[in-house]
Amino acid sequence: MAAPESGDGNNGAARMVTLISSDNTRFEVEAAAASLSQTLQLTILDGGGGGGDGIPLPNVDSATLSKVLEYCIKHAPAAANGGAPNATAVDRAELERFDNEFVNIDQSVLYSLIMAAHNLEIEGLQSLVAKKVADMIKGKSPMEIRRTLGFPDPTPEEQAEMNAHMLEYGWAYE
Amino acid sequence: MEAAAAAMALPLPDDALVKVLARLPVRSLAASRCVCKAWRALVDARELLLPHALPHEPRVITEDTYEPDHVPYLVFDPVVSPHYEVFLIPLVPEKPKPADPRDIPSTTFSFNGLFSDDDTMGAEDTEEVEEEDEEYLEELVKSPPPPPSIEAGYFPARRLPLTTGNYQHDIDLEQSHLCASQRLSHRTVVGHWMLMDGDNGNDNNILPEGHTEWDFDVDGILHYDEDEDYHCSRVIDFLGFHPYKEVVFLMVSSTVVAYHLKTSKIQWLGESYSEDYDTISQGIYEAFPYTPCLIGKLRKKLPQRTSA
Repeated sequence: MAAPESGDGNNGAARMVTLISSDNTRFEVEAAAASLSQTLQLTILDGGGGGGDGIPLPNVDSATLSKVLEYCIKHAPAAANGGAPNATAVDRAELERFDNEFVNIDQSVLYSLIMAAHNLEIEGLQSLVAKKVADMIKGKSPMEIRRTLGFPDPTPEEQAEMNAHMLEYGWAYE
Repeated sequence: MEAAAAAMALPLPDDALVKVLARLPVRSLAASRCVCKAWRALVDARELLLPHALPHEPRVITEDTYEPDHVPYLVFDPVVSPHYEVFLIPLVPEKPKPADPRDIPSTTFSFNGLFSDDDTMGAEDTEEVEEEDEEYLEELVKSPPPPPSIEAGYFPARRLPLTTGNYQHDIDLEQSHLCASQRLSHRTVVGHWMLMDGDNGNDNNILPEGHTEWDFDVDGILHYDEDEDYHCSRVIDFLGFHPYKEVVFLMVSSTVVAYHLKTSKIQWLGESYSEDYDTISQGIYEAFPYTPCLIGKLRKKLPQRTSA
């Protein structure tokens, strides 16, 4: 965590960076939180994003970005400890509660989060949303999965193909 | 911008979708593979089902490792668990002649797995297992064992549900199918067995026209006539279980048959020895459950279809 001393003379107070969403909303967050994103981390280590510059994120809209940052701010302290052996059970339970609550959201928001977590390469958030989607799929038949995730009804050809493949995987449905 | 209801059906980056699919248990993964072309292509391309389908190191032990009167037995059922377990089973004692051959008790024993590739099982104490074996033997002494269906020294065929550790001896292999198996060597049956290569002088490995794979319900059924007196002194090897049907595969001399547990139906499958093998000792002696998730992989070279 050797933050570059040059460039910003922010001693003591946490260093802040500015992120700009696709719809031009500016978000000021601690560098430590934004650095959970592998994509942003290098830029921030190079001293970018400070002052009036800001880092433009053309793929993320403001609603999604604020949600992403909510996650990052919550998880930044634990991440800074590097998987912290000194994190107490209470802290972990609190994070877990937060995570569960965090993904209890509309599917369209969830989809935006998946895309943002993917683009910004935020590992913890990627796992969290993947787990959520996996939980939605678990134990369902192919048709139920399609309905759950809002796929359009299959065309007759698609349906025939699905049936053929399900036959091949008969053991998975018994 | 996007229609909220159908949001999740929008294309996800492959890596993001893989992160989802990789978290699924094997059944859900197989179901996901059927959801749409794109998902199927991804599951196949990333070979997500392979670790579930293949035992990692199937032949980890040999008989020499243990006392001569025990048989190590390897159990693997991908539908139940991706892990295999090894059981150490005492040899079935010499077969006592039951007073009435039709009076065969059905018996249930239980024993512990010796070890498995699952770490949680690996801690099993060997002594405890031996104790269990002794109990097993004691039980055998107390209640006369069901006649071993296969020659003494060979483990009778039975299904081992990994979840409970109990197995049920409920197969009477002797009364009908041993004889029928014997009979089939004099008989030409039309059927198909994947392991058979070349021709061995007859044409019985040719599938009926229009068949692409073995039909377990109708092909190659052998009939056993109770009135005839068959004599069987051959060794029968147990090869393996069908992964999801109540079928076991047995080898009579070098002939492989499928035996239907529920109906006592027998099907001829072919020879188990390849002509490439020099000696008789190199035939097939055991088999693992056939793993359907590999079919696509083996059959074609996975054309990378682009899905719209």
